[in-house]
Amino acid sequence: MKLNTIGYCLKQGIGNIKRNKMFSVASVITIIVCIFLFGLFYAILANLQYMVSEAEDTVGVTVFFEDNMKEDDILSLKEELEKRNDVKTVDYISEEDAWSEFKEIYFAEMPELAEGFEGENPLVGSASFEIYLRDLSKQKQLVTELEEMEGIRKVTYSELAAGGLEDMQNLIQWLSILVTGILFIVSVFLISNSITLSYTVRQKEMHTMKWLGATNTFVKAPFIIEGLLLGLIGTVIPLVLLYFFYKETVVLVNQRFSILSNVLKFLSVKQVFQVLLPVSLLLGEGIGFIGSFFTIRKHLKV
Amino acid sequence: MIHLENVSKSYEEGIHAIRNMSIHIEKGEFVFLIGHSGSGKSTLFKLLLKEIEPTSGEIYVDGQNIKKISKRKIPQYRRKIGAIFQDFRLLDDYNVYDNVALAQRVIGIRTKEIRNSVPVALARLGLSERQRSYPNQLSGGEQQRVAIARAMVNNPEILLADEPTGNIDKENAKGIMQLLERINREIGTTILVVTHDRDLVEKMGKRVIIMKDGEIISDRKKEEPISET
Repeated sequence: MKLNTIGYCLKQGIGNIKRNKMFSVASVITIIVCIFLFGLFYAILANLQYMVSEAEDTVGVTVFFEDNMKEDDILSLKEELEKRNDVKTVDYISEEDAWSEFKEIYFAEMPELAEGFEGENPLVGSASFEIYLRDLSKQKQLVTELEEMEGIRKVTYSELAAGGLEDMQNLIQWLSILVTGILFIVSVFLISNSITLSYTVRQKEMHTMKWLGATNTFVKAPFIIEGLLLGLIGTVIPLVLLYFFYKETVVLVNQRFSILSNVLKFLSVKQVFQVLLPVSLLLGEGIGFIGSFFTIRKHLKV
Repeated sequence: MIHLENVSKSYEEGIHAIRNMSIHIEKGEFVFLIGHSGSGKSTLFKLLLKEIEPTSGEIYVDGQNIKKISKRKIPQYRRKIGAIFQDFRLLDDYNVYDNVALAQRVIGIRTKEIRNSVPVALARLGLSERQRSYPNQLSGGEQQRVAIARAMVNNPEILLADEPTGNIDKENAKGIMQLLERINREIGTTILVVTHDRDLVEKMGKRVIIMKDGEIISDRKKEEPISET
């Protein structure tokens, strides 16, 4: 298509939107709601995923051994565990490591108190593994297996961190697919109505163009442009809103709940938009294209 | 230029609009097609514009069997043909200039060229003063002249006119016919005019084909007296 023709079709497309303002506004509002909710869900999901992956680095399973467990056995168990797919790292903390870490944390400001233990380690028998998993959902299985192993006295882990986040993530994921899906269909339907109205108003013109020798593409283009423009407007508005909304919310939550700053780690607005921007544009323009292309094809079959 | 070979067209409802019709029209010829409503004239136009397909027979335009034109190539084919109608078919919310310019826009002509050629086309038909007027501000005769300007602006090889004077008073009708005659004479466009106005046809002294119930009942060459069997 020539540049000249593209310019003409673009002008016609804009003209269509202006002509049916009410329908255009209705279509755009639905797309805005669709994209805004999609963006909101995505931001929540991405952050949950981020928090879970952060948690996977900090939440581990701690394993304590029976007194009769020899260091060689402990080390070979370590090697065995490290071979597993679901295990990221296994840190061995010997009795000495444990004691010096304890001293550092609790007696840092009063080293004289620790001096009373000089020459003896009160943490004898508290050598442990700290196991970090690749995937927190596999934690329960690993714990069960560890508890059944010989030479293991105690296994401690955080159940809440593992189960709760995953369940919530799943719920939000399904909810977002459902809501976005429904709104996608409603938006396509409304765009299709807009296009039908534009077509009805311009039916005579389209027919005239056809016997004047216009190609199908030329006749269809203004309507598809109309759909794409509505999709674009309906995408840009919620994205701008989401950008500021997200930024402000993160600042606010960090201020209000500064105590939880260890757990509540948020992605930066840039990180969220790296995915959200292209996916939303694709979604919005997808609505515009599907809504217009198939509608006008149906009408122009004659 | 236009050659029909045993063309028939019947519709699903069992109506035979055209029966076994054969016509040959030379390049640059001016032909009248006379018949009452329902004689198959409109069907013939639709066939020539390739809006419908014949039930049987072949149609050749400019040496090309139009049955063989693919759907994609129909727009290119239609550009060879200009058409005007009894109801003018002008777009009411386009002014005179834009109505004529549309014919050039749809075939991808640059705006710059359109700005040159449309005023020339309008001037040729005496419509220079009317460029900014809208169809409802014009008389029937003027509207038909705009339609002719639109049909002719791309210099088609054929001009089809379907009852071009049907909605115009006698005086203006004569003017329209003279205009078509002038286009035929000066540019050499092949012209096929469908009409039921015998008086007007008589004065023109052109080839006249008479149709009745989808069949040709008379094909009188130039200057011969009309005879109806």
